[in-house]
Amino acid sequence: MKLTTSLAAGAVALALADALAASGPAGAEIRLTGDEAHTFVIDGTTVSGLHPGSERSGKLRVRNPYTFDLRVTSLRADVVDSSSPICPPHSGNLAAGPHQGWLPLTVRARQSRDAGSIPIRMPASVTNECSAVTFTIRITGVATKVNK
Amino acid sequence: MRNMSQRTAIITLVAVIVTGIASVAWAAWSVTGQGTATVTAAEVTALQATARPTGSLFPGGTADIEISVTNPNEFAVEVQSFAQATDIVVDAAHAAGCPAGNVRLKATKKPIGERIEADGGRETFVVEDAVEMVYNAPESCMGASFEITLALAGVGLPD
Repeated sequence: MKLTTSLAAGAVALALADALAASGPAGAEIRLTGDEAHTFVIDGTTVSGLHPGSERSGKLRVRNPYTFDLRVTSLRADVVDSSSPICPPHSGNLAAGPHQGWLPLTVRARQSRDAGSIPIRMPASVTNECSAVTFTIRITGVATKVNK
Repeated sequence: MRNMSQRTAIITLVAVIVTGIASVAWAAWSVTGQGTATVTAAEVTALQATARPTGSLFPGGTADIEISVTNPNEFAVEVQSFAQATDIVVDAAHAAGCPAGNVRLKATKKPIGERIEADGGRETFVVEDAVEMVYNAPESCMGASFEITLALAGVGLPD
């Protein structure tokens, strides 16, 4: 019986140690989870003048609404919509490439910062129907809290 | 025996609670961000072109056409071909005795392939033997003017 009790206590200690190592200060993170509105904002510049076979760079800026610093670890862009049904938002008409810039990137609390760019390419195969069409690019990112 | 069981139960309960907190904290560890950007494709604007023959036509003969093209687009264009856009018009003084069918465009011997730079780039080039007069054109066509409207076809070029 003593042996059983001792093993159980060891298991508890290990579980606790793992939890602290993985999550850092648990209190701050629990508050974050409780507020689903929390998210940081990524602003992308408007790009115009794309034509078949051309590439432009869309600059990004990250805004941190939190009271603590964020470390942005990934950023990506996807073409999700177009203003014309005869020019659908697929890679044959417009393609967004991988993020260009330094990551991870630390954004101070309640500050914003330039965050590199996304290359946007219009393939030579694009159809005439895409002339003057406006595409919507969705930019998503992942960040972690910076522990001081 | 009973005391040992209680201790074991308490320890197990603590372990469950700790695991629960760890799970919540892990879920909050990553924060996501979102935003949108807009990208607008260039609008294609018609090329501006003028053309003139470089010589006179005679029955069975051909003439070259000199074409000047201005590209108002934001991208370079390659002019690849041209075609007759509307009916040929003979000047009023000759129209009655010289039907328009006495003159016609000829198929070009080779692709034009002229690059016109973006933003107002301008090029002038000559298409050889572009227009011909039929061999049996009537004498009443002497001195006539023929107005031929051309439609140029081209493609946008990559940067």
